[in-house]
Amino acid sequence: MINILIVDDQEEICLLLGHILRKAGYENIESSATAEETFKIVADKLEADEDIDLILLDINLPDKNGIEVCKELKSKEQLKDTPIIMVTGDEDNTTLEKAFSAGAVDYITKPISKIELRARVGSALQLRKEIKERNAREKELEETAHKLKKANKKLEEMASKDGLTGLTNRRLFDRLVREEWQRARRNNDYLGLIMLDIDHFKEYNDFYGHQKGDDCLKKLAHTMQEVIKRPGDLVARYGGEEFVVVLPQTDLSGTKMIAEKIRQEIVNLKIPHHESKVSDYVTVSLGVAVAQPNSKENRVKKLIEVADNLLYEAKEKGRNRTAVEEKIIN
Amino acid sequence: MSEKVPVDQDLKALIPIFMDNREEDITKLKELLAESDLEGIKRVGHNLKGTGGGYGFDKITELGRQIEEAAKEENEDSLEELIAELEIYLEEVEITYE
Repeated sequence: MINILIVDDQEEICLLLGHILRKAGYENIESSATAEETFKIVADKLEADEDIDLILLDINLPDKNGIEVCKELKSKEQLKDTPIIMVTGDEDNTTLEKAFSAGAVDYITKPISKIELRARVGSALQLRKEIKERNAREKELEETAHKLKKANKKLEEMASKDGLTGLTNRRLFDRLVREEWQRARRNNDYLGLIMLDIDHFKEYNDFYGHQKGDDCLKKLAHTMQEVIKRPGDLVARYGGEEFVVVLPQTDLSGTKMIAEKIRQEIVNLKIPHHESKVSDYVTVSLGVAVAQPNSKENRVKKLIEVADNLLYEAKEKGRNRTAVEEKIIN
Repeated sequence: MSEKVPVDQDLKALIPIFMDNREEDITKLKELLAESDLEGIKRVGHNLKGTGGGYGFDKITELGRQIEEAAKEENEDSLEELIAELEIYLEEVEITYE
């Protein structure tokens, strides 16, 4: 539905213009005789969220200069893409130039030629149609780009975070721990590693069900994140029931202390574990190893291996305890 | 001698109103001239100039232009002639629709 507004103080001109346009097939035509009336009609339409597709504007209105009116109309954001065609008499070129500066796209001279009117209106409306379509496409593109950005972000997160616990996942851990080794080597620092594993977790799942098993994992992950709070420290989910903690710039006694803290905090959660042979509650076993890298070769795998062996030792020795490698790995 | 004026078929419905308005214009012009209101006459002339041709009456546009000019020049004799010419034209014009 195309909406056209005709503004002219001579009723006969409005009649003529309206008539020609209706015959040309445009159905929604309104007219106005003064600047004041025009602004009111425009305000009403914009408030009702209705489009104004074209304005034919007399350059001489009784209450205000037509060019001023044009300027004011074009200053409205909603009329940004609405073409205004000035209806002129015998205006000189300077006046016409002013009209274009005020935002008019074209002009038509009185006495009105039907053919000219139809041609100019037709071309102005065609242009508007294309601008509207382009704007719609741009909007769609913007929305699609936004959706894409969101999806990519999610994908990135999914690639690096463990879905259940929100911890860094194994994939990202493997990369980060290698980087930490390099950093420790450059700065001649210690690098502490803790591997931990939930005691009798299979039995826990079997007895309480996998839903509770998942809840348990989440609780433990949360507790560990409460303990490991320094920026730079890393808690990751290493396997199904296995976790790993990376502590840059932390020596043996420091790493030992953190490991014990984690173990204690988890016991303090007092999560009932009926099937544990170790305790009435969920417990973890931990293996600790610390490196002070000085070889060119990246030997972080060795560090992990040692920590893993100590974890095994902790299990062998009765679970719910921390086993520590006293020798610093290079 | 009457003038035959071809008018666009599409505008047929508007012609009665148009002609009525022109008759009013004649009355008005005569009044204005009697009062020597040249500003007023200039305005009417200007409007006639702008509207006539659009409806198919180029002669009315032309007369309107002349009336506007004469009013500017304050030529009341000329105005009297032009108004008379317009009146006769309106009485005698024959419209054919095409």
